[in-house]
Amino acid sequence: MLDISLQIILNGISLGCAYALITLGFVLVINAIGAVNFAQGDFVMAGGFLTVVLAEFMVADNFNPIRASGVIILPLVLISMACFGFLFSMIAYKPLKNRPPVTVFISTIAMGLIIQHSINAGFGPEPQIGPALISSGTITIGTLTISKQQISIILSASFLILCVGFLMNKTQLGRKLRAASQDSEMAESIGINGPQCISITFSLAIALAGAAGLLLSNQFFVTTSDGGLYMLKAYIAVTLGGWGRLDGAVIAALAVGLFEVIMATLVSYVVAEALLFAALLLVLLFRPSGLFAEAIQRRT
Amino acid sequence: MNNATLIISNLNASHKREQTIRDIEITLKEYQSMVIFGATGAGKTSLLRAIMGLDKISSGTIQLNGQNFHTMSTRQRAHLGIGYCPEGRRLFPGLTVWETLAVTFNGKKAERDRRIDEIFHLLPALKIKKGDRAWSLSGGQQQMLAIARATINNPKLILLDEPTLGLSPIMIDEILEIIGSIKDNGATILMAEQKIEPSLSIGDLVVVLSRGEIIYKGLSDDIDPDQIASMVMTGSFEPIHN
Repeated sequence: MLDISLQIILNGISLGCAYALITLGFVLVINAIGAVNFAQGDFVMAGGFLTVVLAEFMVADNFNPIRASGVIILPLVLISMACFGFLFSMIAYKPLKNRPPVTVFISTIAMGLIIQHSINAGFGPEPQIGPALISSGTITIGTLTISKQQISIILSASFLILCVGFLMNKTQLGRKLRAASQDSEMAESIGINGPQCISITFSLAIALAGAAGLLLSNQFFVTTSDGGLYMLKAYIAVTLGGWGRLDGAVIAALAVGLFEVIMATLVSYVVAEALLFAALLLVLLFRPSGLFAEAIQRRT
Repeated sequence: MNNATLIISNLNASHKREQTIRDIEITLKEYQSMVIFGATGAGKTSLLRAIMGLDKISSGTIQLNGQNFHTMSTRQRAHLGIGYCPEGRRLFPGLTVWETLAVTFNGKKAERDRRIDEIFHLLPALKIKKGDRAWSLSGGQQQMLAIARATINNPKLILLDEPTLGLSPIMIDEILEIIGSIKDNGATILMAEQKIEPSLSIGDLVVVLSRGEIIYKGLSDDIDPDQIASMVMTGSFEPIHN
């Protein structure tokens, strides 16, 4: 019983870690431009498909066509998705930056649909499976059997989250990104290139979405319609974590992943989803600024 | 090359399509400082924002050490050597004191650390709070940090917009003392203020604005605070004849 409980918790944490990457990117963009990037979920899906494509191409050799492992593909996915993120900011945000936030909402929704339909046209609606991060299979510790993939997801996501934390808090670039997101006009007044910071933020956010897509593509498969659901999960995590808070978003995303897996195991996936949305409604009703909220001016 | 630090000629600017300042002519020589007085809405903030490139300039020119910069972006103006301390401080709330100074400094890491140490030596109240986020500081500490941010790159010109706003009398004296010491170090300062008497000592020159226009310009020694107060209240200049 204990083994099963630990296994469920591990499943929840690994899913929550992937959600945390999606949510981190989501919050970074909210803080930078004051608008929601509704295409974030579609970039998770795009990252998953990119992983599938790269894995097919990167075979070990012609005689031993084993698909390349996710951990080798991960840097390529991060770089490619960061480039997409830069392009995305140039197309979906930059021309509209002086318009009301609702314009950016619509533009990101439109871009998300374009991504979704383009991939659908290329791959079809069938689910695809990405490679395992290192290898599939299990490790047995005493009576506890742990999936290697889950451990790899947790380690990879934790590493990326720590990297983002380091970048944002310990580097001059991170300080510039934070300053520009807190007061873009004042950031310009001290010599920070605000538009460049926004493009970098988009790149970072979409690279994280791509990484999440890679991590999820093996265990949960990837289909072109996944984006909306990931987007909603990120939205729930951001709402629970307090709008604009990076630490709150990561904790809430982990909680969402755990809750979803535990409820899906104990009751059913449908009930888990319904309860998640009910929890979102309750938070919006009774604590609209989120469970870990503090005043916007205190954002980190 | 003209030896004046700042020359503003026939400057007109607008904010959200509404003209805020009209035909401003100001010459500020090296090491001089000027205090701009005026009632709320007189155009003090707008003038500083126009100089910083935050409000749209419709006509006129601005030169710093002979270099025209009115067509430059705000960022370029900051790199040119203009330090800006806006009304309401506008600190980055989530950044600590140290991070605020570090992110503002343009230069190498060792030089940055030395300059931050200098600032902490001048403003020990900030050194104690160096790890605290800006939002958690008191009003006076926030103002000190805003001034430190405006001066950390040793700018040629420092724009201060109502630095004593919302502070206690003791803190006002302390802030003006800090600004006085920055001036004594040779900085050229353009400061907008509402509190006439305490801030008059900062300016070698005085300008009074009303409805976006200069209604008085002269040496601070040539005018007394009551006359300035009268101009600010009435919006017109009437010389006192003894």
